[in-house]
Amino acid sequence: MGASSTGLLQVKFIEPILGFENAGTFVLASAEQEGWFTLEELETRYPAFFLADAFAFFPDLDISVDDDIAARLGITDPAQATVFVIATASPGNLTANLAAPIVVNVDTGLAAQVIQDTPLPVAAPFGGSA
Amino acid sequence: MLVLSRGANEGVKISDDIEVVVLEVKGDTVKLGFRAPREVRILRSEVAEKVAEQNTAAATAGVGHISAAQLPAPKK
Repeated sequence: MGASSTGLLQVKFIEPILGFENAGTFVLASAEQEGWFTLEELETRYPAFFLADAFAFFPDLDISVDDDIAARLGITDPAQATVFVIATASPGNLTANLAAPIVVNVDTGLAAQVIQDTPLPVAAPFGGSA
Repeated sequence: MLVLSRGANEGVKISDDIEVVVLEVKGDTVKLGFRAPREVRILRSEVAEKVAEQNTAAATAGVGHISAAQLPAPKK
């Protein structure tokens, strides 16, 4: 398994990840590679996603979280929010979804997939610029 | 699908707490305003579909099938 047993956080989505309406509670864990995390559905382990620390890989990425979402996540201080991008792996190709990052309140474990109003790619190559 | 004709500044009530208002009609574009509780997710249809498709493509059954060695390191 790619996930280490340290740094586990139970994460509850305030609204479902699009396409997975029945999955609400996940486990977020650090992966072996720096900057990488795994997000697995708590009970069935499906769906599971690889997440990358958004700003470690895309330092110029400009993400906005509207006040309502921030309030529902219980974010009162920007330091509570961690932004991840979902990685999609296909043979020989690994891309990041910049259009719909995952924002997690690391204090409460509340999370949301925050769809950006600005046109950002859903499949940006890692190593490219945001 | 229910079909209703509405003009500028006319609206539609959905249930008790959601209202959609036509703000402006210009050429083939309609500007809509939404009043809804904040937990109601309002998205452009094609954006919601695109993100759902990408999420499905990204989802794996368990996280075992990509080894950490295949993951790139962050930029320094």
